[in-house]
Amino acid sequence: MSLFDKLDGIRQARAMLETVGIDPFGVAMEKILSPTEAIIHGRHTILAGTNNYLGLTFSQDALDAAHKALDEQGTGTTGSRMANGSFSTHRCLEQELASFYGVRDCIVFSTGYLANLGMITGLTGANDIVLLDADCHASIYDACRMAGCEVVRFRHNDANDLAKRMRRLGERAKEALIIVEGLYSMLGDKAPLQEYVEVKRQYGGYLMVDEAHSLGIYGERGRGVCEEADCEDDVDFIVGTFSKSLGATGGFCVSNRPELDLVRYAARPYIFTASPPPSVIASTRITLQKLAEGQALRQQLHDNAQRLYSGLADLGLAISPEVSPVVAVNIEGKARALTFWKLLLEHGVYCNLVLPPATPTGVPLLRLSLSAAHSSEQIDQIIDTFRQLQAQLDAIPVDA
Amino acid sequence: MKSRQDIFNLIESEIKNLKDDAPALSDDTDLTSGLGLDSVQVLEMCMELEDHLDISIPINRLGEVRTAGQLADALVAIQQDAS
Repeated sequence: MSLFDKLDGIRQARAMLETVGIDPFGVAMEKILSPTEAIIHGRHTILAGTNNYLGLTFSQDALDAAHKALDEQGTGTTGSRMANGSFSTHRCLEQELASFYGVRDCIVFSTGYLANLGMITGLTGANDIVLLDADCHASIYDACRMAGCEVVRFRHNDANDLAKRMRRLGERAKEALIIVEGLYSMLGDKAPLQEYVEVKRQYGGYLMVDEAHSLGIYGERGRGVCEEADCEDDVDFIVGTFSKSLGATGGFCVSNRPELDLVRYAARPYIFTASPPPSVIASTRITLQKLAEGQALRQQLHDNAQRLYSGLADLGLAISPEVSPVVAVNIEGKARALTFWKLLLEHGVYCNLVLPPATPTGVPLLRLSLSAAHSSEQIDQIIDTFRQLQAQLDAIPVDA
Repeated sequence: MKSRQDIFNLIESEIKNLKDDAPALSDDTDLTSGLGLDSVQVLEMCMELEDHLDISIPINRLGEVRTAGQLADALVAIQQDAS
């Protein structure tokens, strides 16, 4: 068996995509026009799949701060914080995030993926047990594998199933780490956090919530589903990202646990990677302020989500169960989903194609994410494009 | 505690629930290439088996499992560890 034989399955899957004439996982945006528009294949396209929930990527204040940081501090840090030193602004952002959440401490990581990798490998090892929601993000699964901890999955959003598994652990439950997400990125459904807190109260353990897709979207101050569910005091670790509502790239963990600072010394994904560049830190510090004061943006985002959700539901499409800034449309049949996705792009709507086994339902889905920056006209245009193309979708057999 | 044969029968029954047309199961039947199950379906099946046996299956214990027989052996071992 050659080194490359294991890629044969991927080669075959990509060949199937190429029969359609476009690789949905390799779309290039030729020119970014705004948080919600780009030129793709020479065509003016509405971006409905970029997770730019608050639309802050072109905030003038954030751009100005990033430009200033570039001029004053350079293009990159050229090293890790542990080996090559932190910039003072890294620490400023950590203090501002801790203050935003009203907690003791924060660690900033270079990406959201690395935040999960760093926290989970920093906290757990071969003798520890992690219970995670079956639909958790790949970064959480990868982190558990890297940590070498024992991993038990429980059914998605099912606190009773978690409780069952905690009961089976007996005394070990007291030191188990439970990991869930605030808002799940595929179907846009929220975690029943209060129910998880009840399980934790009954059996013990520690609770980590990844708010990657819910930061800035839920809660009065935009702190996420933990804030909205009024259970922040019962959550031991909140992980988040700068790459969605905060419009940059990077990740973090906040906690009241005094041990958080020690994780820096144990987390290889923190120690052995370059720290975020100063321009990213600078823009994130500004967008964090805007997020905290962003009640109007949040309201606009939720209004937009309701408008799109209702519009697609009225078309009779099989859409995700909850209204949220993530709207998933189930499309039976891989070829149908691929064709429909391509038609949407050709008609000026970019969304995400997700194919099984990466989908939680086992059915291909088109995933749309809303932004507060979408106009009503853009959302109506998305709905109208679905309407126009629906007949073509219906004409394709499910088993094509 | 269930015997290995009971556990094997349970696996066979769960596979039938997933795939009506699944061929008769042997120890050597490969769960993915032999039955056409994807990795997510195998994990879903394991959740059903967990409920039947009242055990939790750490996914690390499934790393080397390819066949129905290997799965049955892993479940027997987990059941013994839990008792």
